[in-house]
Amino acid sequence: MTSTEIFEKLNLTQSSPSFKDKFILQFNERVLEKIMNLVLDQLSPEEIKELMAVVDTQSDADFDNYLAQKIPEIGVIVEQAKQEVLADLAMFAKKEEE
Amino acid sequence: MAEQPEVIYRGEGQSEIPKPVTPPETPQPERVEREQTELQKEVDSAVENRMRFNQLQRFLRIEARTYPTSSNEQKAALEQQAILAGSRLENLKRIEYSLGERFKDFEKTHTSSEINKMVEVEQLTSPLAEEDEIILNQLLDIKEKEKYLDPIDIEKLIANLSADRKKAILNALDFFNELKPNETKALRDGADFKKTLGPEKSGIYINIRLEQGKLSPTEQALDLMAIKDPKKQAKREKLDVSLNEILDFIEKKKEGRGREEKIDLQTLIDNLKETAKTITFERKKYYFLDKNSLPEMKPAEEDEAKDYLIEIRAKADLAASKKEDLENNPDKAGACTQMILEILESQNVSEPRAWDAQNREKALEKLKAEKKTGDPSFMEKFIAKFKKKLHPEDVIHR
Repeated sequence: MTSTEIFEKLNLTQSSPSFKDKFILQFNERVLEKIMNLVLDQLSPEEIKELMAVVDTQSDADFDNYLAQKIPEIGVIVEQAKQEVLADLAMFAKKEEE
Repeated sequence: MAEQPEVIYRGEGQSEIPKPVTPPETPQPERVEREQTELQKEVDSAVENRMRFNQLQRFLRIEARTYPTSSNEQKAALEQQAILAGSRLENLKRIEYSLGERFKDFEKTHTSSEINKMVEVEQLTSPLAEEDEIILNQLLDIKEKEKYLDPIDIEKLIANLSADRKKAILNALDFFNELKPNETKALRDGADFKKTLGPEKSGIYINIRLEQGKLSPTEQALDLMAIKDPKKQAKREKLDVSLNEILDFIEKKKEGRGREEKIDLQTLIDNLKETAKTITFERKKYYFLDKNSLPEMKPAEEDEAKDYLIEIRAKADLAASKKEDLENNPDKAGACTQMILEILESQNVSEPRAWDAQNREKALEKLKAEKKTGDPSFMEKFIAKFKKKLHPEDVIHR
């Protein structure tokens, strides 16, 4: 997925470059937030507690290892998050058209 | 007696200087070319000015949402609720749409009892639907009744959500999560809750409603409207008037009526300049840098905001210096106006809505994470860690 595709889907092709820059920054943040919730969806309540402890107290490498062990298909989740964020935002573009 | 030189306006902070008296001109090719060049410059500057006015107008909308009151916490809580209402409504619609689509498929291949089972499973696996149920009634009511409560800084609003409010929502969630699917459905359909729930659960249900009622968002919103700052209100209205007068001027020119009407564009522009000065620097900062994403101002950003202030003042001066031509030469004014209108029509009105949509998504994701972890700061901590492991191709670039 490219930024051009995103702006086309959201009817923002006419926007200024500075707006687009900031919008993409925010879009990436939304993707990260979505990834986080998709990860949480994959874990049991006990595993969520484990993950919280890892985030709070362990190193970046430990965090990577923990995620790799619990969620080997993290690449799929990243792509899914992008598509879901785009779908969510596309709802507003549809309303604009209506 | 010698002829006195005409005085032209040079804008704030600059002295008035005499305008040289020019002899009568005769049409020449060079002159036509020069006029064409000047006209193009005028068009460019007018377009710039109109864009700035438009930006100011957008700023106004933001300021209208953010004027200080003596009850900021109340306002923030109410606005938060309005935002959540929007998010939850969309989420609810998604769930309903998804259900509807799945039912269509299931009706083809499944019996009624299988479909009913599907309804129960969907309800049990969609806790947000119950969450929607308890707060939608109240929050959507606010959204509908208090139109001035548009979404603003989501992060700040979430931080300002009161402990009482959180507790009330969580209590309600617990209660609704424990209801049987048919009880939830009956309440959602507006059934008599006393008959549906029985005496014991009805008592708890009433308490939940009362607990939510203590927060009385609609009443708080009405109080808020009564105590809004009259000085701020006056400034906003004045700026509104200035902008509207200029827009009227453009409209009249477009319709050809500007030729007959003596409109003092200079006065309009002066009014705009004066009122623009009354807007605090802080507000401009938020407007220009996008308050939703930049709660703190960095030095470079502050410079940028200052440049903007200087720039908009210079543009207003430029517009003032052109007022004679615009008023006395309808053709030039018409060309400028046409260009302005074309620019306006091509401007993308979706931008503010795009921010709102992003902000709603952010609020929703944050609430989901908080509900699953119980830690309001978990999202930031997780993202800080996860960012480091992202590959470049996972990030969308401009």
